[in-house]
Amino acid sequence: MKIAYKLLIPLVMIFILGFGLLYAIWIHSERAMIDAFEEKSSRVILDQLMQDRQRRLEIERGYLEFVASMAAKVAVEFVSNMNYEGIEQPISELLALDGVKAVQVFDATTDQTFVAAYREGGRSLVGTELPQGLADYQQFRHRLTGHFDARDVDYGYIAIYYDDAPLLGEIDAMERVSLGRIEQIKTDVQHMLAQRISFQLLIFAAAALLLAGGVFLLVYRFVLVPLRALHLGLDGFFAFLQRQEDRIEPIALGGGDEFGDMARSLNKNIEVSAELLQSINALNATLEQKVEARTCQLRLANEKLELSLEGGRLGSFDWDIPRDRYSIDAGWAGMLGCDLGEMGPGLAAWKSLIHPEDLASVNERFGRYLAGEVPHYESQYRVRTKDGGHLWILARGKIVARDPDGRPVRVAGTHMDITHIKETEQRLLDATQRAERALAELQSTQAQLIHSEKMAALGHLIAGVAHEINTPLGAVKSSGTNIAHSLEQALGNLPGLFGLLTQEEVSLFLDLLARARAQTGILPSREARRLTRGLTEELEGEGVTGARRIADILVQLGVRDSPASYLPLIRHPRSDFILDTAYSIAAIATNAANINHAVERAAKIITALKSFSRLDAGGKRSETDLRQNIETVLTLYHNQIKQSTELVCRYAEVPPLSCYPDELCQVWTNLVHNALQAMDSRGTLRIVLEAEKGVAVVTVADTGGGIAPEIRERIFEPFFTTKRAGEGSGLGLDIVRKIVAKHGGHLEMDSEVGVGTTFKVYLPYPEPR
Amino acid sequence: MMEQGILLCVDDEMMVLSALRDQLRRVYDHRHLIEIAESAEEGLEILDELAGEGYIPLVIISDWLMPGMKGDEFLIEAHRRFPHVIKIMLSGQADEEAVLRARAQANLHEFIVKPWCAEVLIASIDAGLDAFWRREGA
Repeated sequence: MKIAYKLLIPLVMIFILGFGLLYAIWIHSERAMIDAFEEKSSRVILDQLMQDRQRRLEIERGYLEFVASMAAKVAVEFVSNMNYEGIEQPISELLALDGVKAVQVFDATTDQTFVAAYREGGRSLVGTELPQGLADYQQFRHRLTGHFDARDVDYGYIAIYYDDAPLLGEIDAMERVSLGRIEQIKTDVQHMLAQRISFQLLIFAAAALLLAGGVFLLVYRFVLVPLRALHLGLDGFFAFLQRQEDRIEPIALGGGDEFGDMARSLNKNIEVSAELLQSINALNATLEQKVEARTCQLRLANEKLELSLEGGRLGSFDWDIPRDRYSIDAGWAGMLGCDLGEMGPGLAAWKSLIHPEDLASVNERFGRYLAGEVPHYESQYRVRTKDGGHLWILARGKIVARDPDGRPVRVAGTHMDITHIKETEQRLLDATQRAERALAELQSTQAQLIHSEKMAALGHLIAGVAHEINTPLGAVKSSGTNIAHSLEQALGNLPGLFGLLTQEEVSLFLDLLARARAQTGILPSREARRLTRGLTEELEGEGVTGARRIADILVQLGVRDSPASYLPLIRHPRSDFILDTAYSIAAIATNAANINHAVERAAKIITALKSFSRLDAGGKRSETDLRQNIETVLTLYHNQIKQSTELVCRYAEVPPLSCYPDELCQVWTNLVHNALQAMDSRGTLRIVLEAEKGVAVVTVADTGGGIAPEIRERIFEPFFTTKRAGEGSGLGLDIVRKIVAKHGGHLEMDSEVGVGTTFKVYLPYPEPR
Repeated sequence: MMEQGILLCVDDEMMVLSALRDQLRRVYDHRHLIEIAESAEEGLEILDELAGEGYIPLVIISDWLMPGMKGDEFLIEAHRRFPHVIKIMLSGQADEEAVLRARAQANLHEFIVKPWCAEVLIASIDAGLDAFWRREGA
């Protein structure tokens, strides 16, 4: 990311400088505008001030001319009448006016000053002489015109000397104030401008920084990050190339820009390179392996050769035919443990060492070679060693010389000790035989296992069957005792009873007994309780005490309504005795019926068990009612099914099937057992029997967890089980399949995880002959 | 008369209930009411109904393997409602865990296997009743 820092500083500089420049230009133009505005407005104000000054001065002049004309009108009277004292008063008033410095009235008739007045040190001096220095003041002169004999007469003039300095001073002061205010406004504007500039500078600097940051981020995201990814990817690739890495990750960079394109093409390169490298490595490895293997082989071969030769496992023989001299090399002879001198010189001597069983084949092979029937001589046989043992040798020989007629005269060759090979062969043979024996044993074990699977299924049943059998047994046992007791009580009570009862009561008693006898079956407990409640209320209405118990007995005796008819018995002083006796007599019958019922139930279970245990019989085919066959199994599972399983059976009328009924029982047992286990006995077990196109179809469906797809293929394999160890051997479905196959039928399985499993067994009816 | 007790038998087999009723009637008739129920649910109904009428539930004899509520669950529930009642399980086959559960959570008085012997059952009930009356101080 060094480039990031390199980029960031210039970017910030450029943006700050650029913004600074822009701002300087802008602020300059703004200032020029403000200056121009200022100048223009100053000029306008100054013009205005000048005009004001002129107007003021004109107004003042006009006013003074008016005063002079008015004064002239007044003065003309005084002058015409020569009234010197009278004029003093109006002249003094004139002098009192602001700025009036002196007043002169000139009498033209006398050509003398009539009166002159002026101010000096705040006093008014009136005389006929005007002081010097009035020429600096403005003079407002008006002719004194009077009328005499209907004509105008000029009496002279009046002059007012006016000093405009105070007025000018006043105007100047006012202008100074105005100008001062303008200056104040200008300074304020300058101040405001200065403040604005510092604020704007701040904003501009921030904007410059933000923009620089933004541009930098864009560059960072779209240029620097991809660059870095490419850099890392390339680094990784180089590391991979230099074998510092085991595997290589592709460059993690997508996107549709040029960097993305670059990354993709680089990745492609990397991929190809990696593959190449891998195949090169693999080749190297293979090559190394091959070299190693070859080296090893060579070493082994070499060692073997050395061993053979050194150990004397290889020897040579030479047979001179015309002279019948058969010789072997000394080392070989030592190995065999025979003395060369001891051994006779001829071939016969060698042959005497050959194992009698092998001799015939050696002779035959050798003879055929000498006769030219086979191109090589080669033979394996045993030779006797001196210590009485035998060595296996491989003999190879060749005719090395022939006489001019082409008859062989010399045969030479090698003998190789192949005892160890022979031993290995023998061991192999033994092993094979042992394996065959083991296989046979395994097969018989499997047969045993199949049998024990059957026993296991029986075991599962027995736990449930215990309950099934113990329930009727308990009922039988108790009912038996009950009968004995009831009989005893009835027999004891009866003689006394008839002595107690009137003729009418006796017939009521007998009527009660008849009702009890007429009862068929046992009332459900709820129904019995409802009846008892009804009778109790009626009896209580009749004022009978202990009504509930009496009602209970009556209901047991078969009385359903109107207990009032038995009131004579109920109200009898010995009613307890009477009713107990009646109940005892009835109890004998009900308990006997109970026994019959229980025994029937037990018998049914025993029958089912019996047919189940005959599975092994090998049996014969017999025409079998499939429905009955299935129900036998369901009877055995009655106890497990009734807990929380809903059993839905649908049996079509199907013709009897020629089959092995006991084996089919085992099929149903396995399927029902699996179904119940799959549902944990909670759900719906559906059994359907139907026939279609000469095939009987039995469906066993559960609403269990289903079979996972990955093991569906395997469930029929022997020994495959999903049950816990000890619960099943995994042979159940294998047996089912075998039995179904024995009937020429087949099995279909449909399963959905979380919905359930359905097995369909197809059993064909044999073709009519 | 209203202080009568109840002996309740629960089993899904009517033949067992019928036999039990006669067996118990021989010993406890005139003293207690003997009621039978074909399911645990019905048993609880009877207990609630009769307890409401002023009867005292004294003894419950229940099968274990029944459709719907099992014997141990039933006895535990009965124990919750009527802690003093004497609870006996009478079954041809019962899950060992269920019996342990009933012992621990329902204060099971005794577990008797079918086929049962009347004398054993009666002796067990009597022992329970003796303890009950002693506890009640009556």
